[in-house]
Amino acid sequence: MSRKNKITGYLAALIFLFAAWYGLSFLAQIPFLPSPAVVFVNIKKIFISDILVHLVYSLWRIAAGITASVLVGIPLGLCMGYYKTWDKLLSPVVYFTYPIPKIALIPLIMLIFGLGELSKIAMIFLIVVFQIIVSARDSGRAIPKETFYSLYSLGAGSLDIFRRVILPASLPGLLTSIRISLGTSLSVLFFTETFGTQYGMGYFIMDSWMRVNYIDMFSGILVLSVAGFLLFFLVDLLERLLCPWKP
Amino acid sequence: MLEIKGLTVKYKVEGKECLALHHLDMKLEEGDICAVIGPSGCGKSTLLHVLSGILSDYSGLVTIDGGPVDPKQKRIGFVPQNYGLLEWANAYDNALLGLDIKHESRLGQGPYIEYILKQLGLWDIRSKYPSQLSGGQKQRIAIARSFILKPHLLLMDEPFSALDAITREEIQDLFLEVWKENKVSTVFVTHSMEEAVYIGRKIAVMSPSPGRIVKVLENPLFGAGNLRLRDEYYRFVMELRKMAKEEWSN
Ligand SMILES: Nc1ncnc2c1ncn2[C@@H]1O[C@H](COP(=O)(O)OP(=O)(O)O)[C@@H](O)[C@H]1O
Ligand SMILES: [Mg+2]
Repeated sequence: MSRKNKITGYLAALIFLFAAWYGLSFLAQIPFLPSPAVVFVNIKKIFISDILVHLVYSLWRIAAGITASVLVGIPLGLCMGYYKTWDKLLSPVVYFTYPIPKIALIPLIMLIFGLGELSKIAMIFLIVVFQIIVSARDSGRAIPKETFYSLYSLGAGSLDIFRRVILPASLPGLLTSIRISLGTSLSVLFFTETFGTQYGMGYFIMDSWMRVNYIDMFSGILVLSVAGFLLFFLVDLLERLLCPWKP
Repeated sequence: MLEIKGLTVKYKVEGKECLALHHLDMKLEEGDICAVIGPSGCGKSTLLHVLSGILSDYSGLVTIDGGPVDPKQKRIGFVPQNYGLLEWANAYDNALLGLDIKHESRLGQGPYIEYILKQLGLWDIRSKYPSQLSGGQKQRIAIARSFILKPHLLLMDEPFSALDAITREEIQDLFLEVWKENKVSTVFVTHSMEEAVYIGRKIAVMSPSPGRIVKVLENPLFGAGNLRLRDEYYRFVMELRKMAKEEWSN
């Protein structure tokens, strides 16, 4: 029932947004605000031929950035949550670097990794990895020590404890941190794709804008938004799949 | 099989030391059931934490079968006071945690697992997660886990405390039934005199904190059957209560 309500709510919001867009474009009648109908038709026409390749590039960068952050952030964060010495050593580093707006590091990242693929992925990595480290550390700490007792009394080794307690206990927090950092990484990705590449949704949107092709531009914006939404949805789905025990 | 000499446990709380157990002596024969009673806070749970290998920072001598307490070597079934379930595992997987950690096949144990889960009223809820269950159900999962492990030493910390009166009696009987089949050496902590007399072959009375064992009684009614219908049972419980009151008041 409540899930059905949620879906109805999302649908209503979607219809409202498109109606508002349509109404505005109809009233304004200006070339840089095309009607959604025109944009839909355009997407249908050029999605496969012109947009898809850019979308694939963007999604690949996101996926690579997030995967790298997960691979680095989870072990690091969990170790910090579990071993006091790791925490003492690394927490101050995280504390000081966490609030730096990572986008300010773009020039530096480009000096190190060049203009190509690597620097775009590195930017996403920088944004996501801190969220994951902090969340993994905190959820590692939040596990009540009694939870470990049954495993200790059964003579479980560290691998068992990691696999059966630490990892499942921190999974929901990790997925939440990925969801939170997804929005920021999408906007930074957009920004990094406006230079040094001919591929990516950022490039496509800016290029359409330069070509004064507002219909293409809006098509790009819409595709990117839907992709962002689907990524969110994917994380939700993963959470429901991997954490069915969550009430 | 179990021998404790001069066991002393201190907890460090904000730099201060807090004595939980002080020179505790205890012995358990192979295949015996010892009920430990004591006022709350006297260190009953602490004692079981030492015996189950959770707490290793103690002084004194604790041996199981002449060797040190090592849960990797020994098969120790432990029912913690707070059930010790994994939130992310369903009732079935929680009950089988012992076999999984010991890397033993679930298949060979199939009928016994099903028997225990059915007897404990868990079979129909075996795919539910702890967050969807009541305290009594969770406690029964913890009991099932320890039975399914078929341990060499069974340690239970107020294992029936969350059950309603009728279920408690049923599960106490189930415990005795399972025990009769396997005769597993058991240390069983409770604050209920009735339970101590109903289940223990020996009854060890602890002092108030810091805990020691001040008396060990042989339970003359052990194995007599139909205890709840017998006057001697209630008389013995009364006697025990009077004695404990004296021990605990000074
Ligand atoms: N982890 C702990 N840290 C500090 N003090 C503790 C801890 N566990 C128990 N204690 C203290 O040790 C004493 C004995 O506790 P416990 O063994 O739980 O008693 P019981 O199970 O008999 O109620 C109590 O005074 C309690 O406050
Ligand atoms: Mg206790």
